[in-house]
Amino acid sequence: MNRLQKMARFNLIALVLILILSAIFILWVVANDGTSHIMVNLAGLGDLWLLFILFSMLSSEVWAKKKRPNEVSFDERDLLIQTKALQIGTLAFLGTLLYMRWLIIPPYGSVLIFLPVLLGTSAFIGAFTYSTAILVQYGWRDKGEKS
Amino acid sequence: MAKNEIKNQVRRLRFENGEITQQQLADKVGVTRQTIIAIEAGKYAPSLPLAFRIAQTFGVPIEGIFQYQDEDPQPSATSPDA
Repeated sequence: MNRLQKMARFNLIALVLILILSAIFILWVVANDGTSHIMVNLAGLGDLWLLFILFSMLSSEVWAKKKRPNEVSFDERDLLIQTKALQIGTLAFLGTLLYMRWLIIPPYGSVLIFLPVLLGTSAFIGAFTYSTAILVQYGWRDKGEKS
Repeated sequence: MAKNEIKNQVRRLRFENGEITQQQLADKVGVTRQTIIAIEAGKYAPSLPLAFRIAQTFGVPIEGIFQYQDEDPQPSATSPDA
C-alpha cells in the first residue's frame, strides 16, 4: 500500500468519524439548547473540519517518509490516479453545491441551510468521493504479488 | 469500439536477466513496485518514457517488451485494387 492509498484510507476513516461526531454534536445541541445558538454550534462543527485538515496534513507528512533513500513513493501512475480522483471529487463537490443551492433558492427552495453547512457538506462529499475514487482505482485491497 | 491491448514481456525478461525482483526493476526505472506489478498484469500501459527506460534496463528494443494487439483491426485505408 503506497502513500496515496494510506492517505485516502486515513481520510475516509477520519471523514466517517467526523460524520458520526457531527451527528452526535447536533443531536446534543438540539436536545440541550434547541436551535437558538445554531451559529455558535456551527462554529463547533467548523472546528471539527479544521482538525480533519490538520490531521490530514500531518498524516501526509508522516507517510511521505521513505523507508529507503532511493525509494520512489510517487510516480506517473499515482499522478494519473490522483488527477482522475481530483476531477471526480471536484465534480461531486460542485454537484452537491448546486443541488443544495437548488434546494434553498426560491421559488422552489423551502429548506433553510446556512452557508457554512452548505460548504461543509459539499466539501465532505467532495473529500469522501476523492478518497473513495483513489482506493477504487488502486483496487480496494493491495493485491501486489511477491516477486 | 475496438478493444486494444498491450501485451508485455516484463515478467519473462526479469527472470531471464538474473531474476531481478520487481522492487529492483522499479528502483532502476524510477517507479513504485506497484506500478511494475500493474504493468506485468496488463492493468497499466506505461508512458513512452517509462517504456523506453524499461527497454534500456533490459537492453532490448521497446517492441521486444511491449506488443500492441488490436483485436478489432480497422480496414486498411488503401484498397488492394488501387
